[in-house]
Amino acid sequence: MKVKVRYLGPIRVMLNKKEEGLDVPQKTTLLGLLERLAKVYGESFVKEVYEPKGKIREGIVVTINGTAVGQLGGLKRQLNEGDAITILPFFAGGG
Amino acid sequence: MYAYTGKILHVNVSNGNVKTKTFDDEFAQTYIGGTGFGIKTLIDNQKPGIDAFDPENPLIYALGAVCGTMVPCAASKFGVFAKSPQSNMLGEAYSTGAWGAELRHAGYDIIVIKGKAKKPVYLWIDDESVQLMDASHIWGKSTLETEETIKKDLGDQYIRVSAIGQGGENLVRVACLINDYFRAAGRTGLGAVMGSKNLKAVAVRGSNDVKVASPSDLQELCRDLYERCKGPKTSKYRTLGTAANVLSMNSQACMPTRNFQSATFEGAEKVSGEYLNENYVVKIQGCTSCAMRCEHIATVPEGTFKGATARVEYEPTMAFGPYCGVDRLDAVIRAIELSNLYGVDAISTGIIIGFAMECFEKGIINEKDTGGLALNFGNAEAMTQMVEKIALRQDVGNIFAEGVKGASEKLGHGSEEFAMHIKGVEMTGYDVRGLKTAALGYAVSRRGADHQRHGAYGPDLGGQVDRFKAEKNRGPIVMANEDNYCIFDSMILCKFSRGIWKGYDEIAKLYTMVTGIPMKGKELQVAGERMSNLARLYNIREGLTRKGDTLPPRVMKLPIPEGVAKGSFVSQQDLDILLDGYYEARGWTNEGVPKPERLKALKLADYSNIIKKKRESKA
Repeated sequence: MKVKVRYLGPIRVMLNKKEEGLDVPQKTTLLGLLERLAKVYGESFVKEVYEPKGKIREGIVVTINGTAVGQLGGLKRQLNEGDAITILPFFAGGG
Repeated sequence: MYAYTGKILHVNVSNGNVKTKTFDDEFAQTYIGGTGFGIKTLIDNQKPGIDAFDPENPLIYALGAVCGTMVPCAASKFGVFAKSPQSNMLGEAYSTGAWGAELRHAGYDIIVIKGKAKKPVYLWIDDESVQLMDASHIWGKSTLETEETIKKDLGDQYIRVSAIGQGGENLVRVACLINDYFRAAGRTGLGAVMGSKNLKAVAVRGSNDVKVASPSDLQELCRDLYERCKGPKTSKYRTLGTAANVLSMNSQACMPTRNFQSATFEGAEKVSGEYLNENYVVKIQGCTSCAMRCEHIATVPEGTFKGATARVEYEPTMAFGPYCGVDRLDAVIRAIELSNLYGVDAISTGIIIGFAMECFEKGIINEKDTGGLALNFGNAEAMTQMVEKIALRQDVGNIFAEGVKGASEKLGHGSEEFAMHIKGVEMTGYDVRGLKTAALGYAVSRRGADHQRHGAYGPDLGGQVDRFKAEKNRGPIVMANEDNYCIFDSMILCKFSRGIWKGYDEIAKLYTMVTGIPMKGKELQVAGERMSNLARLYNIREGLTRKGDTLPPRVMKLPIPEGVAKGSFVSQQDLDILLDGYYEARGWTNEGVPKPERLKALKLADYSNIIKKKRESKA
């Protein structure tokens, strides 16, 4: 099935890519997708985006069709045909 | 006493009287610094109910507990406090740079300034020498010219200056204080309080050492903290900087656009952090002792605004960009630069201009009022010119200099319905219609519309809660965040570093290493709660009721028109659920008044008369 991944912020700069379409097997979970991306983009992707134990890193938000995955069961969430996944930084105000 | 100087400098600019008072370990342990010192000093030194421009309204500077030490990202932070001319309640704003550390080296932790000088003056603190200097020649000058002139006049480039620009002189209600060229104590109009005293600046030079209690232990901890600061938890701040939030907020449909008429901006890419860094950023720098370096200095290379230079963050980018329908970063950079030079809060000024643009498009004001400006959304040149008109109170700028609340009251014609403020303070860069935990944080924020007292957008955007749902359980979340932020703003630690800390226990350990004063994590947490309650008492004393814990009408009536948050708004029923949950968590009455037993537990029993008076007036 086809899904789309969109990158914002430092991840976009790191990958030098705004978005990409991917073909993934049925029943692929979000974690499965991130692991696949990690194989392509290497350790720096893991370091920025998620902990291999299955947790999104602090300061990063991952949404599926606009909804934060924390509300969708987290990284175990199964993806569906046509899902749009966005990986975005999340900044907190300063002084 | 370690780190703390234990000294409070009282200056009366009416007659030049200067007194130094002291505080002891118990005061330090109870109120920590920054927020705690500021609110405590304000409530104790301000006669209840006076006007913000009354000479007796004290303008207070308070240093963070670890200011002037090697603690990373915390070495020069300070807060400024007074009764706010915007909210007529608690005014507080924080800044960094190098000014704060200099004050501690000069030998003071707190400055309390009262009175009104007969002619413009500035305060010159050179260790024990404290003088009022003639400021006639710098009155009417920008913050930059003021800082440079004072340094030149006194013959020392290392003097640190916290100054107002023309905005503060003209009592613009969103006027701020600028120090170290780019750093602002921005919110709640404290520059106007300084201006009302005919005080142009506070210049400081210090030569004393700051001694800490356990230097070796502190060195070891700081080495580790510096390493953590360089790690992944803070990398985003030094790469693209906070302006990268533009696309994040836009993707989540919480980007305030065209005065909250929308929550997504079609031109977001063009004002994004990504675009900024590729085309405008010339330097990335940090504050004294900073290991993160978040300041993105941008310069316009060509065109109408060629040469304009400013430190660019998400909030002012939102305010002068999407909020005004402007998709040109050159104009955004120029507007931020002008705000710094004139000394007006870049967030509030942008929000005011967005409001003015809607007034213009609705025919409430016209080109005659604006001095010929076609103030439509998206008119970048007109937007930058409005910054000047507001700071100088020219044309319709004189009305908008009163802030969104004051201007809407003067303009009428239904403009109150789209005046985006809470407690008189302009909204900031989160469309809380689709962020209901944040909506509660904003409604109860002690300094009016604000994301910085609570950071409650975090659980909403991070997906820890359903951001579209109002539930009572958001109360404890907001309360915990507020108390935690009180401690961050008392130590004062940069909030960008919050991810590196291992909870209250580690911060308490740091506090003891620096000050030698025993502190446990739990005690620090209670101190945060104490500060939140003291701030509430101050605001109640100045007139706050449950009715004041509210949101702008547009947030409560107009659903977000598009994007992933389409249809969301905060109804009165939602707000009531949220407020009930918050008051309950705090142990307050359903009118939002602290109870005597809690005050006693928080060592605030001395202030029980405030709630007693409240109960009596109700009866």
